[in-house]
Amino acid sequence: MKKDSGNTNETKLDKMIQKAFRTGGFLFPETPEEVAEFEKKFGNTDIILPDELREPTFLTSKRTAPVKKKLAETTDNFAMAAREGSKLPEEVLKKMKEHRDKAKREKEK
Amino acid sequence: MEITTINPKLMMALSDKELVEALQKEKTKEGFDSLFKQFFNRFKGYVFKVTLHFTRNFSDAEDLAKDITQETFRSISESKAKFKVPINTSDEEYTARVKGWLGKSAKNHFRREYARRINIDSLDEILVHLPEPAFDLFEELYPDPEIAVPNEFRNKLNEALSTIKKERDKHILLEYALDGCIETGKHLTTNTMEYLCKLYDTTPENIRQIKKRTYDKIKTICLTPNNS
Repeated sequence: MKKDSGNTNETKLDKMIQKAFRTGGFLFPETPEEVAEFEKKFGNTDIILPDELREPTFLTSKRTAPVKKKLAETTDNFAMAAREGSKLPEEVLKKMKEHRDKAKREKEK
Repeated sequence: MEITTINPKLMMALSDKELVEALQKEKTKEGFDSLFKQFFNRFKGYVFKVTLHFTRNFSDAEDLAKDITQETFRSISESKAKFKVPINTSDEEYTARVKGWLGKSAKNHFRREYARRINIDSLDEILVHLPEPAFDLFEELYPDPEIAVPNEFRNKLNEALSTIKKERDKHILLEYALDGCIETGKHLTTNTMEYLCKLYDTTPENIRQIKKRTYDKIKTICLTPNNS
C-alpha cells in the first residue's frame, strides 16, 4: 500500500512537471489552451525584433547555412525589452544581465 | 471578392480568420504576397517570442530564434492548405489555433535548425524523418487532465533547468517534454529518438540514461522546499 502511495505521488509530480513545461514558456504552445496560458503569462512582454524579421524578404532570398557550432554551455544572447509597463520574467532579466556582463568582460580583455 | 484589389487599409481590417481564409483561396502571386505580408506582420512577434522563450536554454538563443521564425513562416507559406479548423470556430479561438499551428511548425524547425548547427553533415539524413505538421484536432479532443501548476512551481522548474550545464542534457530532456513523455516509463517517438541518436552519435540506451539522470536532478530540485 505504501509503495502505491509513493507511485501516485511520483506520477503526480511527473504530471505537474510536464504541465509546467507546457504552460510555463518552456516549450512551444501547440493547443489553444497552451496559447492562452502563454499569453496570460507573457502576452504583455514586448520584444525587439531582429532586423531580418522586419520584412518577409527572406521568403524570396536563398538561405545561408548557419555556422556549425560546437556544443557548449548555454550562453544566451538576449535583446528583449519591456514596453508599456510590462515586466520581463526574472530568468530573462537575469540572462540579459549575464550577457551584458560577459560582453563587458570580453571588451576589457 | 478579388483579394488583389483590396487596399492595404482594408486588408488590415480583416480578422485573422478572414485573412487566413483569403490566403488559402488566393490564386494570384501578387495577391498572395500582399496577404502573406499582412499575416507575417501580425504573427511574427508572437512566433519570435515563443521561440526565444524556448531557445533561451541553448547557445546563440536569439540567432537560433530568428532562423526558426524565418523557417516557420517560409514553410507556412508553402503549406497553408494543411490548416483546417471547424466551420463554427469563433474569431478568438481561430486566432489561438493559428498560433498553435505556428507553434507546431516552430517546434519542427527548432529540430531542423539545431541539427544544422551542431551536426550539419548529416542534416539530410535527419530531416527526412521530420514531416511538416498538420493541425491535429484529435489531440484537443483528448487533452491532458487538468492539473493546477502554481507559478512558484514553474519558477522552481526554471531554477532546476538552469543547474543543467550541459546543453546536450538539457536538449534531451526538452525533447522528452516536447514529445509529452517526460513521465518516467514513457518513451520518445521513434522519430525523435532517431533524431537524438543521430545528432549526438549515440545509442537509444544512452539517450534514456541521460534523460533519467537529468530528470532525477530536476525532480530533486523541484521537491526541495524554498529557504525563504
